Amino acid sequence: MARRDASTPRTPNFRDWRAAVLHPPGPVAEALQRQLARLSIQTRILWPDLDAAGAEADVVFFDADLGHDQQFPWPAGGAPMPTVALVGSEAPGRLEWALAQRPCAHMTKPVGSGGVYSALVIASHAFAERRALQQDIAALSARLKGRTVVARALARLMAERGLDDAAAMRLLRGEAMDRGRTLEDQASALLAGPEAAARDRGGRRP
Amino acid sequence: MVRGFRHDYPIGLLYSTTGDYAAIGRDALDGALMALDEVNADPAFPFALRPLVENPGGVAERYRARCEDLTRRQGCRHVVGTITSLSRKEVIPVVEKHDALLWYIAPYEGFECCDNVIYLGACPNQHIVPMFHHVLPRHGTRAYLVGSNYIWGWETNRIARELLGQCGGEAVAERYLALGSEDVPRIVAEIAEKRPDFILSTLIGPSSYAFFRAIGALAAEDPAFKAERMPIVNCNLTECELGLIGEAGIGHLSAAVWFADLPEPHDPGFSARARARLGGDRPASAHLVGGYVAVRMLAECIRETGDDTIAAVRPVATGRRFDTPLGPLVVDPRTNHAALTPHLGRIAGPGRFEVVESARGPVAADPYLVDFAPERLAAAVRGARARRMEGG
Repeated sequence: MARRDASTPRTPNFRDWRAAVLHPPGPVAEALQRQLARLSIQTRILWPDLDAAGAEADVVFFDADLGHDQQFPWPAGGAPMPTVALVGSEAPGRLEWALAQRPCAHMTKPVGSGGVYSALVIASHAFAERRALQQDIAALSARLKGRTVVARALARLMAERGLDDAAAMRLLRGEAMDRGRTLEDQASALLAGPEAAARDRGGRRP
Repeated sequence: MVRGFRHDYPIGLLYSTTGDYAAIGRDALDGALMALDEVNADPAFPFALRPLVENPGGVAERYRARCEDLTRRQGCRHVVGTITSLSRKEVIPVVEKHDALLWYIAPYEGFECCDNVIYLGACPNQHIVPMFHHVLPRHGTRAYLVGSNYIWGWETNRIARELLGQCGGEAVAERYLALGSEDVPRIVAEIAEKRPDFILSTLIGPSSYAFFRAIGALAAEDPAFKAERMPIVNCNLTECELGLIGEAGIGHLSAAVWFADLPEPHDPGFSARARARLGGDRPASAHLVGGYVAVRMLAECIRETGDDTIAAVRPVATGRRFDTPLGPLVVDPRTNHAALTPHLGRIAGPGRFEVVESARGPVAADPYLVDFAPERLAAAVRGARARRMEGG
């Protein structure tokens, strides 16, 4: 197989993507559609509401001038795909509303012959980065929550068996490894009840 | 010839016939003027084209004002011109503002589709991709990338790195020279040290000529650096610059959409007419043909619609087939880019390429590389490697 080192660039490609353009029909929507067609992207122009198929598009362009929350089937800012704001009016109220949608990129109106490709490259990159950050945050939160559980489990082992903290940790870790569980899961199991804890202890005794 | 009542249409010709890439500008301009004279002398065209020639001297900052003058003051709705991407990007806002049409004939790096430009030059899937399909299986995948320091070199080299990486190869170095610089010794020293399989050059003008000569001197010392072993590969070199390179060019490669060496089934008289016009030993080139084709197409569009507004001309330009010295030519209305037949030429002697490979027919332009498939090239390279192994 061909080797590909980390420094090999990859040309962004959006072939066969589906785009929804949530914008009143007219020159802006048509210019977008023309540019998207050049990238082999299928486009649907929708107004005033994003329909079910539009809500499953790979990217949504939305009008920041006339847009409102009720057009989207998700809570403001919760789009499950990259979104691009189409900004005409630069009035701060309109920009506030557009920002609340958490767009990944924006284009200014009128739309001419260019701009869509860079908006797509930026939006898809920003969306992927945001996703990765959200996953990191979720993983860290889970671990943070787990830490309290572990602390409580250790405290219980220390109290019930008269162990010091290091010995309690060794015991908990050993039990987690025996059962192929994470430390946090084993701690939760231990805390699940005196019966569970007793059974676990019983199980380990010869 | 006196043309009593024929309407005439002003046509802007915006080429640098002095400065760093003057040789290319001169060819493009001469091709455009050749077509213009033919149209004006041909009673089949019930109008005349009036050329308004501007020479920005290769200075990027001058293009905008010159184009502004052509479109706003002189009333040109069509400008045939610009060679470098730097100058094209300068001109685009002007043609957009005045709703004029730029006819662009040079190879470029793609990723652009302006409604006010007709692209008759090759984009990457029509130059570097077919060139790499030829070169990588034959010479290898360790390339040295050298270019003039602007967008043409940067983006072409980026595509090169992507192709090389997919084939398990690498760019052993990527170096740039300022436009016009002839400071090539350090680059040549590095090439002597790194011994790449081939060199991709996106140098233009005097930088390119100096580089060829320096590599020629290196090859004279060590045959490992001769063109047949380590070719310099270009995507924009045509006959018009061979005289400036001289003997040092022989054996090196270029991709172009036309070479004088090609048979000419499409316009049998073209080369003879070009020779008669250019005189002496001066060969025609893809740049000359490009200028010619642009003006000829424009004239046919005006004849068909009776109007030179871009609202009238563009649908015709992108809506039918044109018989040209490049062969039957079609411009895709989605992208405004022409389908072109890539050819690869090897410099064979003074002013002459021999064609070593041609695509079977016109290749649709893919300016955003939507149908880019580096894995096809990787498979070809693996196949060639396997055959070499079998062959011992």
